[in-house]
Amino acid sequence: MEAQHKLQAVIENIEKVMIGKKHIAELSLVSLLAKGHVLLEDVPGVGKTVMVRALAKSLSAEFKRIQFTPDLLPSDVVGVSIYNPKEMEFHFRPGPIMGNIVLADEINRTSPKTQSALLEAMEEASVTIDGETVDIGQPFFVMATQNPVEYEGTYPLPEAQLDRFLLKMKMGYPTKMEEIEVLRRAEGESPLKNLQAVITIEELIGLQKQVDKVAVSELLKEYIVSIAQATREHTAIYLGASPRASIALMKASQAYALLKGRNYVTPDDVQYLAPFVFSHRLLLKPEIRYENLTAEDIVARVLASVPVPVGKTEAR
Amino acid sequence: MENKDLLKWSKLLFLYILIFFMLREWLLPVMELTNTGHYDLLMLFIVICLVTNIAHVHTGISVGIKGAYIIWFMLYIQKPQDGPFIQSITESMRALVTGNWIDMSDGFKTMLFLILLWMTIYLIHHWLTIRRSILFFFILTVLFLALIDTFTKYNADASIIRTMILGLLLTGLLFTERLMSENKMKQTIGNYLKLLVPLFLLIGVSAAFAYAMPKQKAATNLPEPIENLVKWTNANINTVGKIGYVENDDQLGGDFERDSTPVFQYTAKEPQYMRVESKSSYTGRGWKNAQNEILVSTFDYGEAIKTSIPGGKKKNELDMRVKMDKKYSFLVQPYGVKEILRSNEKNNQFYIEIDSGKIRATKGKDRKVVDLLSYEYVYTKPIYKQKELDASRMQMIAKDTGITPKEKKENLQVPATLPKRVRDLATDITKDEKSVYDKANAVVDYFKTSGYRYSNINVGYPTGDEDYVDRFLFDTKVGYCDNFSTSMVMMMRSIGVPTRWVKGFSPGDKTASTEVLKDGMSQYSVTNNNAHSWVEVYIPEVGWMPFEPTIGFEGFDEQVEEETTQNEAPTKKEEKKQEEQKKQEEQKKEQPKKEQEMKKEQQPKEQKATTTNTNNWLPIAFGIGVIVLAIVLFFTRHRWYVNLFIWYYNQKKPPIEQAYRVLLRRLARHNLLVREDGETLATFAKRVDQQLRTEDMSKLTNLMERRLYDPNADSARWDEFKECWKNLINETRG
Repeated sequence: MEAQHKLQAVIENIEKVMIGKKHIAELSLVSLLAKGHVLLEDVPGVGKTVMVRALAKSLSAEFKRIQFTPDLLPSDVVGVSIYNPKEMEFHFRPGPIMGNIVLADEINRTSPKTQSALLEAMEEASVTIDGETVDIGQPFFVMATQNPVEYEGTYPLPEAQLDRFLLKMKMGYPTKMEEIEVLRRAEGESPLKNLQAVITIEELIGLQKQVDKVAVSELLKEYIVSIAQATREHTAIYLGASPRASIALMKASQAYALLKGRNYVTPDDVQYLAPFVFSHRLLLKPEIRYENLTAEDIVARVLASVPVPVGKTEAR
Repeated sequence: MENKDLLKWSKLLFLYILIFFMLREWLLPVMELTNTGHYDLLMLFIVICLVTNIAHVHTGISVGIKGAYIIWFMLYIQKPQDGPFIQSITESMRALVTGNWIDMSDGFKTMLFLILLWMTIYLIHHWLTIRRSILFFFILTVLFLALIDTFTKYNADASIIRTMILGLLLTGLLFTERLMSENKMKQTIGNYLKLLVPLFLLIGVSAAFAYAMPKQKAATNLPEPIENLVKWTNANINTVGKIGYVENDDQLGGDFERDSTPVFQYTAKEPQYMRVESKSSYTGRGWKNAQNEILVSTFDYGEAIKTSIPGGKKKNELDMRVKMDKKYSFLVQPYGVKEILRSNEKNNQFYIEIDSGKIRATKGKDRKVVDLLSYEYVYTKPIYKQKELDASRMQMIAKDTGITPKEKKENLQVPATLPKRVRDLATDITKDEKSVYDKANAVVDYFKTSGYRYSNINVGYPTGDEDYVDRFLFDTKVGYCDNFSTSMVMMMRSIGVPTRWVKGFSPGDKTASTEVLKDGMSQYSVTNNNAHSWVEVYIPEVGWMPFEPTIGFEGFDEQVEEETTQNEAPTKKEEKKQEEQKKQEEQKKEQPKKEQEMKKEQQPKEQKATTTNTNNWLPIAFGIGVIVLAIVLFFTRHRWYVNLFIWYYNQKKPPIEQAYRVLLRRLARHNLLVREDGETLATFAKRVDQQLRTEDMSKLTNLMERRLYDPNADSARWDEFKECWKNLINETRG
């Protein structure tokens, strides 16, 4: 299958610079294919930037980076209209958001005002400045990172805004062996510089279109909805998954199926992606925190309890 | 590695040796009680079975070897009278199917028995190697021996002890084996010694201790319920006796089994019915021995014997030599016996019981009865004149002086309990005949023409108030010589003709003699099968005359002499007789076995040790066989059922959903692999593959998932998933 080969080539390319983070690369690619955005939650220095840069390079896409700080203004993100005295008119100067692949670093360090400007641009794939709407060209993929909320001086993203991210994932530290390999590679010249593009932007857009054609059987649509509904009825959850979350899960599953070389979604795709799609959209009841349970744990429980649809093979 | 294999192998060998001896404990009583021979050959078969199991001989070869051995065995014990091999088998098969188990040839029975042994050994093999538990078999053996010891005359004292030791060793060894594998102990000789030495010591010491301990004598009287049970089994069960001559006829009836053990041989010109004695007192159940004084007449070698049977002409005197194979306290005599020439002993005296005609040899002054091994007679075959016979009339009986009033009275005895319909039937049959002789013949013919059947099984005993004769004549119509002869006696008596019941042997078969015989002499062999009973009717003015009422026997036809006036055409009667004879011969050819002469031997209750009474072991063996077969099928159900299953589905070519569903069900049932609710098929498949060490489940599931979740997928064809599915189903054998 051609699509799978192309996508695997991208993954392999990323793996040249990223050690042991294949699943992150895959999930990023899934998100990109499903026209969604990713929230990476982790401490600094685990390779988030390298990861995104590698991805951008592999796709020969334009890469932009925004470092969020508490004093960053929305116009610093989306761009600004500047009066040109010579021509006697305002000129739009696009902000760093106008790229194919945007790394929004430490998004929780900036003010909610700036955050919402970013999120709005992500959702609409366009920016509006002084009544003028400018489309951001496709592909458009934002990878936002944030420090875990325990750190001081941060503005946690509101739940409604988290909903804008297709996936939320954690990078995690590398294992010992992996880290040794990281050091080994860091000795010489950074391999990132020599990374070549493996697919073109046009090919990527073609793949994005192909995602929509991946079949989702009625059984699986029902399954996805059942999972979403189970989160809404779960005793530990205050706010369950929205229908948008269901759509997100389906889209992500389609993309993942394509990545795995299938033209149909299986329950395994759904189960694999559900924690990444759902966990940041759920609001747990306060008392659950005391039980040391995370949203991921609850999603795992929900998945274990919702019967997988197996059609006529149900063994009675 | 090699060392380990050797250890494993020698362990198994040791277990098998123990099993061999345990099986021997089963075989011994069975063989003793059923008089089965060829002990060593049977044991050899067990050895073959065990060896093929232990050596992991390929199934085909092993079946071949055992099959060949069974066939060889059957050919080896094949008797000439069984007829051609294949024919005897087909006949035995027929007998098996129709339930006439008694008619199966010995070879066939042996085959069934060997197959039973084979299956048993297979089962034991399973217990030993797979389940590693023999306790069930052990308990079964002890129970079997205990039952055999209690209810039969087999003495299992030593057997029980041997079995206990063997069984304890076996269970101990197998337990060790289980213990070691469960605790993952290394199977080294050292570890074995650690566990086994205490075991051997324990068994050895306790056996020695048990042997040395003073023991209370076993209770001589069994607890009452058991004693009653023993009595009941010995007396009332419809036992199959073995045919043979016995002197007690108190209770007639029951089934018997053929027994071709030779009884005696005689050398004579013609085959002869050999008479022993007659009885005259019928009780409704059987014949009573004379209670009062027995009048005898003594004689010496060469002295004329006073028998009640008229002899033939002097010029026709013949010699007969009798050689006994079995000891009897009486002599067997041909009809028309004149004198005893000599015997294997000297200085004997003889006496003949006047009423019964039984001859015994005595020795010394105190006239102790002795058993002679061989003796020689002079006899003339009695010849009856047709004319005299035709002239005999009923009214002549009263006036006849050839029979004493006492004799007449005794031989007209009819028990008061004899149902009236017997008399009515007798009157009805004989009313058209004028002469007494014809009346007797009418009764003989009645049996032949009225649907009576000769059989030695399903004869049964009269129950309650039933009369033995009445039951046979009107209810069962199936029986052997005793039924026919006793019935004829009662019928003749009830119309007023003195008749007595005679016991002895039918003529037997001609044998090839090794001795040089005089001209025209032949040797005849008489076996237990020839034990027989018939009838003697008193024909007025003629004397006692033997009749053969039992269907299928030659009878005494040549004794009647037609006084042929010149060139007279044979009478109608003669023609009829010839026809009948022909018919009988034909019948004889058809069913050579059924028409062997038989007589049931019933064991007197007091003398336990002397006679060979056996329980109906064949049906029991057959029943056990069926049970063993069922057990084997049950324990091997995964094997044959799965094969059947695969075959069936291969024919059916089901859709993948159905095949997959069936597979899931079997995995759940036999491998305890159940898919959780939240588990996807692929995850489950991985789990299954991991446990079963295959990749087939994932392959199959992949196909299945495409079918399930890809709306555009074509249906998977049976051929695509057949291989994976078969492999997996094979894994579900449990």
